[in-house]
Amino acid sequence: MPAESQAIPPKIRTAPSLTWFAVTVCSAAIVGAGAVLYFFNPSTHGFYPVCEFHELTGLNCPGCGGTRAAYELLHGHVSRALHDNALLVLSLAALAGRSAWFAMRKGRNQPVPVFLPPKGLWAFLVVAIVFIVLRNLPAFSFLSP
Amino acid sequence: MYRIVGADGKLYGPVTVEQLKQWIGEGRANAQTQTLADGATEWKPLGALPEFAGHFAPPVPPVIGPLRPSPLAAGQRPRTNPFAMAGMIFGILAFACCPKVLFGVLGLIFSLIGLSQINRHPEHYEGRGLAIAGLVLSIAGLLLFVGLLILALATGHFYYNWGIRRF
Repeated sequence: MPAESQAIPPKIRTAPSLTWFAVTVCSAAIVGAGAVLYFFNPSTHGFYPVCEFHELTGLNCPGCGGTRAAYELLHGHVSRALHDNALLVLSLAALAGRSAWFAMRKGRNQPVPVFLPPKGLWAFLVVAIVFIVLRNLPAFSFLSP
Repeated sequence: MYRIVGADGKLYGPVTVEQLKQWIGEGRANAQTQTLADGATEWKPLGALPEFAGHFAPPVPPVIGPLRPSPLAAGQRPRTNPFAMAGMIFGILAFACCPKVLFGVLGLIFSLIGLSQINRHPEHYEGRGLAIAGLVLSIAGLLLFVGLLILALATGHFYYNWGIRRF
């Protein structure tokens, strides 16, 4: 083989994308919020924001119980977290699974699709609407925190 | 075997398909990289070669009739506008979750930016439906909040007295 075939072309430099900026900012915010949440139990500390929808109507919105669920998750109590907010726990599990799959594909240099496909967002909206209806019905009170 | 022009403008190769695919994976070559295949007489962008088709997004379908010059390079296709996506996410949060005011305002801003970008460069972006949905959900969330607040203030009755359900 000729000598020039040993050379490896340099990496193509691309401008840091908006996605990376968003990922960095969101990661920092999540780590900060997680640290506060880990040390201060939302059931006993009152400085957490309250859900205005719950305050005004008494109904549980799809996010109600999310802070408590996140607190329980951080302390490893999965079943308590599921009881507080099943939607949040299952969404986080889905995101974790998707991230792992992405990392695997990237590690093998395989092409990857969009992280959050539009169809996934639409599906999540539908699930959230079903969830808000169900958790406010007496028969499904186990979905309420 | 293939020869390519690297990002530094120098000639690399000849290398095998596998080696070139590895370079694509490492970000050393992309769909725009000029490539000369063995036996070929002219240089082509890597994205135009069928043997690498799976490694890039599918190329834009050929336009019939007079070609309009498009800034979109070969092997690229419109991608979902990230602002539209963020607008939809905040819109869902504003509509379904709280704090409605914060998420509603963020969703409104992101959706409007996304929508204007899609309108300005329809050949670059898709996701108009997402942006509009984000806009509608953000506004719905904000209106829901304002409506509930007015109702609560006007009647002086907060949830505990509404008798919908006690906790």
